Amino acid sequence: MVESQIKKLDTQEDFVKTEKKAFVIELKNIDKFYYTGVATQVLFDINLQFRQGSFNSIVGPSGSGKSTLMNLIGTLDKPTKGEIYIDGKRTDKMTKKELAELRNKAIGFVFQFHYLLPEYTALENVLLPHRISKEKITKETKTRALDLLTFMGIEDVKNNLANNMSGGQQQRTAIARALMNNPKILLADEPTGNLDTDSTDRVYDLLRDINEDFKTTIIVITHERRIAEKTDRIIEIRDGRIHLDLLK
Amino acid sequence: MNLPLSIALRFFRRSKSQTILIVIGISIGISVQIFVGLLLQSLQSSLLNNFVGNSSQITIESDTENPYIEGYEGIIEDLEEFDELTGIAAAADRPATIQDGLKTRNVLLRGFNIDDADPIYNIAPRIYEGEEASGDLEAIIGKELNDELDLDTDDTLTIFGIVKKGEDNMAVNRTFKIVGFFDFESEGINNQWIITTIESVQEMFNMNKTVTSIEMQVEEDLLYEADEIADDIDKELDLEDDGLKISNWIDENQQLLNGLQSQGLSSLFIQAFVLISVVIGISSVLAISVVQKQQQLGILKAMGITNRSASLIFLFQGLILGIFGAIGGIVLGIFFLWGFTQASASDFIVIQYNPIFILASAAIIIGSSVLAAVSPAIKSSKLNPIEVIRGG
Ligand SMILES: Nc1ncnc2c1ncn2[C@@H]1O[C@H](COP(=O)(O)OP(=O)(O)O)[C@@H](O)[C@H]1O
Ligand SMILES: [Mg+2]
Repeated sequence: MVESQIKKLDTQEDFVKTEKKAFVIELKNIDKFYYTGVATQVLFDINLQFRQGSFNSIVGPSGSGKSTLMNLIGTLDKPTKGEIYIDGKRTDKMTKKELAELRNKAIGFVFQFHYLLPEYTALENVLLPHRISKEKITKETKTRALDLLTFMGIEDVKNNLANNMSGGQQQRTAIARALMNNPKILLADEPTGNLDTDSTDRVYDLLRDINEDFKTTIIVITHERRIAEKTDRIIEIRDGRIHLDLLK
Repeated sequence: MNLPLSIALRFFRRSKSQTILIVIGISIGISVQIFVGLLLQSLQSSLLNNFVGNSSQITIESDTENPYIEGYEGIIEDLEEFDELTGIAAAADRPATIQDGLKTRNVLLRGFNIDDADPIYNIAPRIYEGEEASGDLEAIIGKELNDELDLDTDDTLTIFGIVKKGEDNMAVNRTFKIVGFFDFESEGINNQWIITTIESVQEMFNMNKTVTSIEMQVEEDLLYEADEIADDIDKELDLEDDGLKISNWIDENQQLLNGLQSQGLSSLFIQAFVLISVVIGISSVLAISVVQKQQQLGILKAMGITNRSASLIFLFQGLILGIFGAIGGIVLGIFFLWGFTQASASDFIVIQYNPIFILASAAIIIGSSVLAAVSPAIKSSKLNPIEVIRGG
């Protein structure tokens, strides 16, 4: 009798585990306050799950809390309340060192500004996440970096410093760099905010390809509805709350 | 290559002219430190060398009315047991006078055993004309004295003295043959000393087999222990029982030593302040660099660089600035010193490029540069990527 109870518990735990595993990112009851003299609440009781390999967009007016949310997911910031899981592991209680390792291995970032390290060439920039992981640069890693640049269509400028590339080329290099360590998650905060329409379309086509080819979970923030329409799921944030969650 | 080191180098390379300017600035600061340090060390050792290098450092004299030391050869035999002594010479000194036209000049007639006195007084190389006095009634005189007397070698000079005989004073004189002229680079000595053999003085002043002092030099690196060595000799030889006293250059030159000491101290102060300003310079340059590079640091942190690595970047920068600053500073400092010796007419100061001082300075400079980088490194470690990424 006792034995079967234990078994039951086991399977329950297994169920919970697999359930969590299915979600590569999970946010539970997230509140976020900023303290600037007065406490301002920016996010209100956010609950969200993202499936492995999904292509998601977050939209909403400026100041609604999109970037705050993404920085929490990316472990660059910590929630005031609530729990965040990446790959089933709770991140809001991790040490700085564990977080650095997680960011290096599991997450790729693309930002609106600050594309590249101007001291390094495109290829060197792409190799940086690998070097940060303290693993040796082998022939394979170099080939992978070059393949990524080719995938992004910028192999011609691989030896250029950032200053000698167009904005679109820089952002595509940044995406290649974010993909270098083959992360499960790619987070992009208005990646095309500074690009013209052609470059923007190019970048989104590439993100779609990445999602399909590498099965990378992508979350992209945009204020352009047109772009969001291209993704599989649109989450709209308003005043720090989820206003809409549309799955195609 | 180690990533923080490679980033440190890239950051420098990116702002090449700025980096070169900083290294030049550090080098100039350090060159001042090296220049002042080496110059003062050399000045002090030259000063000391001139002052005590060629004179008696430990002296045994009579402690009674009677200035004559009897049985001095036995004492010298005992002194030869002391390994610290590099030269031991007996001297028979007597005040005397000479006639220069109508003028009477006071001189000190010094009788040496030339072979013994040479290691102490280094007489031979200071004779610029003629040779050493080695035979009876031969003498050499100093440059300034001869400027007055205007003698040539083989000219004669009559020297007058007083010999005490019981209660009476008796005038004596001898005519010496001048065989050479010396230059001790000291007007006092050149004016007053007339150097001859021990036997000549003993005979002229009726001293029998006595001398008036026994003079000694110690090994160069024991120069500052001359007082202790003198004490040892005093104890060992029971000099007091023989009516003798022993003196040493340290006890007799406290003022000079105090002077040298405060000079050394002020040199240390200058060096320390130069070093402090160099450190402050490096620290503020790196602090500015952290701000300049905060976007890069933010991206690197988002990519998972550890805070430790982020701080290492600037520690390496401090180290690199220190190494290049030290090399540049040492080269410049030595160049300045070389220029200084070329420009100064006097060869009084012999610059000693003390390798221990140079290496120790380099080590201190490099160490301080790393220390100067600690606060920028902490800033870099604490930098929150969110602040940068939000900044836009
Ligand atoms: N560090 C901060 N301190 C105080 N307020 C902040 C901070 N970061 C963001 N905010 C505020 O939080 C709100 C949401 O900001 P953000 O997440 O950047 O919005 P979005 O990305 O949707 O434009 C805004 O009102 C913003 O001013
Ligand atoms: Mg935003």
